[in-house]
Amino acid sequence: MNTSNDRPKLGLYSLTSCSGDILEITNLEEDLLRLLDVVEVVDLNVAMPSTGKSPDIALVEGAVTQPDEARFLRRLRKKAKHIVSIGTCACTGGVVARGTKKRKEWLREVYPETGEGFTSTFPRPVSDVVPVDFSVPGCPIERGYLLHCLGYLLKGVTPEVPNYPLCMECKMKGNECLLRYRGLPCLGPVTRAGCGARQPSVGRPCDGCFGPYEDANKEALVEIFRRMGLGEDEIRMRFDLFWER
Amino acid sequence: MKKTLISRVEGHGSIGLRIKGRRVESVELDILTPPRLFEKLIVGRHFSDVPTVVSRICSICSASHRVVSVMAIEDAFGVKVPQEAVLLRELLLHAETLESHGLHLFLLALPDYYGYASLTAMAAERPEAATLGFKVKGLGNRLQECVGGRAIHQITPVVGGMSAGPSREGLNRIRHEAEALSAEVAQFLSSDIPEIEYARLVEVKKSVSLSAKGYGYIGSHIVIDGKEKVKTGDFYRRFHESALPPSYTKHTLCDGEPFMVGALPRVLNSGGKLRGRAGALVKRLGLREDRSTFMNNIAQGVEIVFSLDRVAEISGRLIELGLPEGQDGAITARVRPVAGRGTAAIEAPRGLLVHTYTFDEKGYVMDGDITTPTAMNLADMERTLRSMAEALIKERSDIRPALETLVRAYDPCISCSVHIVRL
Repeated sequence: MNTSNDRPKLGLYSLTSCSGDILEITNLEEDLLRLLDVVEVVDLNVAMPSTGKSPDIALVEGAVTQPDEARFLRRLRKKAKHIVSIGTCACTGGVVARGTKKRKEWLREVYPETGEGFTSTFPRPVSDVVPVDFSVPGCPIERGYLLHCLGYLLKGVTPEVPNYPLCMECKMKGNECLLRYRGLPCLGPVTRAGCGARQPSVGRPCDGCFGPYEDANKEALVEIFRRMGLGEDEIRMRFDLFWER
Repeated sequence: MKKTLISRVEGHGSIGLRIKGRRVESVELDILTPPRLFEKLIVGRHFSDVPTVVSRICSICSASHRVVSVMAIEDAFGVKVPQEAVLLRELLLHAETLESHGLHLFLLALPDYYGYASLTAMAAERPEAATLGFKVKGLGNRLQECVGGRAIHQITPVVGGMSAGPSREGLNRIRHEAEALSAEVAQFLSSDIPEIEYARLVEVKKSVSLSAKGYGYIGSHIVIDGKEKVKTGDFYRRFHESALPPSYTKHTLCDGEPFMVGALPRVLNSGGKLRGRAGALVKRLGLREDRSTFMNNIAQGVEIVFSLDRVAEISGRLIELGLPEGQDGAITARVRPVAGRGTAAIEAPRGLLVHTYTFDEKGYVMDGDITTPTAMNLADMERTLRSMAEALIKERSDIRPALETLVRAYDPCISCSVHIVRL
């Protein structure tokens, strides 16, 4: 392993989340060893105390739900060269950022004795608190997609990522179209490619966790859903799972 | 009050100790993962979205959350799931157990046994232990990907069955790897793993686990102390949540007492049903008679061997059945929502996991309740932490490393704290 000190410094930070995106990084297995050859990990707040060194690239997973987390991000912004949001929670608030108006009431119902005293706020994406240099979406992130982006970022170049619908990858895999031939409400046509069409490949319509690509035509898909007989509420809930912030 | 952050557990947690002179006044375990309100997030959602939302509770146990969620919905609607789909789900749960136990036993807990401060320190001097851990965890991940469609937040378990079949080639490769790895792990466990020095200070008081046909992670009854059986649907009648002063944390109690869930309670309650390599290991290690809480880690080792052998067996059977692969391999029963309540329990790697939902007649969620193994173990962790603190405080000044080791022995998954948060 390369131990010289001139390697770029990588920091891994976990906010409010299931820790799945950092877990996917540990799941890189052999590629992880190769990655550790070219970067120095200066922070991994889920597992080790900070080395105190400033990261060149800070990967942040999870949504911001605590004043402490927001303060932490502002400090991080001052010392990190690049902040990269990883995973849907960090990019948009994710599956937990729902029910804007009901949150206070929910806290009281789930924690009748202590809910009032909670400092927790509505889950926000990292970019609501500090400027973010790049976003790697997915619930969870895709290992290959992340490595691809890191390769660019380590060279100081903005990563080039797919800006086309998931359908492209799905077709290339030779899958049967779930929207057209099975009548399933797939979000593939409006969702950024990059996961290799994981869900449609195993018979489930895309839930849209990568979010929209630029110029995605939501209205056209809504119209298709209507013609398939989906009610307005059902359509709203399809987009409300991950896709729409 | 002194607080110690616990490292090498999944998530964020801390132990709060109040000590006066040489007397322990109080011990509290704090879960620092902020509330995410999953039980409320699902209210008003269609049943088909529920497993997708709740699997996001935890990345390590996402397969357990997804499978038990699907089963609770099937219970509510009275769905009978095809046998092949049940077999595929079982395979997925073994895969998750391998990933989770591999990570916890070899990479997070074993450094405590060999007396190293960290995994890196252990890996430098005992690379064989770390390598074995990565092998087990890696196989578990690849199998979750093969059967579940993804290593984290699996896709294929759906209400009524499974949405796709695994690749035969993938299963075949994993079957052979599992066979070889099982022998390797069994041999490692038979070598002398040193005992934790304070292993004799704490023991299991009440052990709770699921009762399966053989040894296993899916069942319809809960066993208390190897004798008493409770129907899964009656879980909330027998087990109660309450806030124990001085802590405001919700604790789950059984007959007003703390209890333990996880690998050791499973072996204590059902270890007699283990056959083959895993059965021989239980006898050799004396696991059915040893109630030390720290044996939970060793019991996880036995379960790694058990799961590897089951993986080889089930994969072989599935290959013989010749199920269609991928998109064409869906195995599902007809699902018709009805108004009512459904409950299911499962053995997640770190213990019993219970999901309950109430639906309206169109299949939309009216109410949900999720009780995780870490929530169930909380009261027992505080009980054993207190007795260990009381025993050790007389003889040493810094008891924090010992207490941290004890918390790790329970393998708490702190992001699983669906509602045990206290801030």
